Amino acid sequence: MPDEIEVIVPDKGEVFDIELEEDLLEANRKIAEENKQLLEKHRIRAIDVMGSVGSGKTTLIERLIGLLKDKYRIAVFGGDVTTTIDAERLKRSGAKTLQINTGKECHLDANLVRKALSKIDLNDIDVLFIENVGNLICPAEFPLGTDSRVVVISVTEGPYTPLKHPYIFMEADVAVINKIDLAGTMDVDVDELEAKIKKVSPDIVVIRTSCKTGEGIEKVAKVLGLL
Amino acid sequence: MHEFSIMSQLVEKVIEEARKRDAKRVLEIELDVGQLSFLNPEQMRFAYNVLSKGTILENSRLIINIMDAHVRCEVCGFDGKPDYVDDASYHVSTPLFLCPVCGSPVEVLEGKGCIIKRVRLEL
Repeated sequence: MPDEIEVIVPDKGEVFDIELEEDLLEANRKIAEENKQLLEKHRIRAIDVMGSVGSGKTTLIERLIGLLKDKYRIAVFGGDVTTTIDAERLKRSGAKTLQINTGKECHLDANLVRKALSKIDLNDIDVLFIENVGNLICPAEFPLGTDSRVVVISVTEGPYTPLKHPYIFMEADVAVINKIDLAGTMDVDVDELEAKIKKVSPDIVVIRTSCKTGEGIEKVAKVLGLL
Repeated sequence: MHEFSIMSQLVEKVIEEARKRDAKRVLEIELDVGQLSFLNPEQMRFAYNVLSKGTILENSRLIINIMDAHVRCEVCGFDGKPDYVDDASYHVSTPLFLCPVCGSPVEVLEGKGCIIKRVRLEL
């Protein structure tokens, strides 16, 4: 018979410390990894589209759908705090759409995307665009499990966006500078804007577009490996 | 902006750990927050005070340590803190993800987490 092992336990009323080493952001990252595996299993290419309100996220997705809808079966998750305005628009462009309303949160998280994934037939989709909530801060901290992350900015936001919000550029693979048709009117130097983006995020691919005229849309599709 | 959801996860997690150990009260929580995370300590404290009311965390002390970022350069082997752009007109300094020595893109090793380091319980 083995010796009895003495176990020391704290007495009632005693104070003691426990060390947890638990990362609160890790929970989201784990679900994002599960989403990624689920999407890979169904051979779905997923793209997280981030950017501020009015930068042209919805219009960019509409344009990409117009370009790619004969080649792929496309679905879109539209993330907003409330309303279905964007989802209605995207539905008209011919893609399956699902609105995710966050209620109060300023970003989509991996858990909301997991829920949305359970509501659609994954065997029926080749490409999934996830339009994040219009915000340049919070979405950066919450990966969703997509293959690529795109940040859309526009020249109408002025020349300082990349330096004011460096983190979102750090987390993104592709930066789209939209509304370049307005650069002259806005007196924004697009080369300088691109240099600022590269300064805060050296590995990022920068593409200039005008979602109004269609300029640069094919380049975006190519960089995302869709053309 | 998302401090509230992070802090509500924290409160839930700590209550769960305290229950496991049959603790009467939580006295102190120590958090390590990376400088590259997007969490504002002031908003974290505010959310913590609201969320801990009426729980065994009420009136406990929240310690927030801001942890330096740590980057590494694969090209020249630099290992340390990133450079910051300190332009006074931006009011906060912006980290640069280029190697301070050779200018190549660096890999971020630390500075993005929000880690519960330690919880002090009264049994």
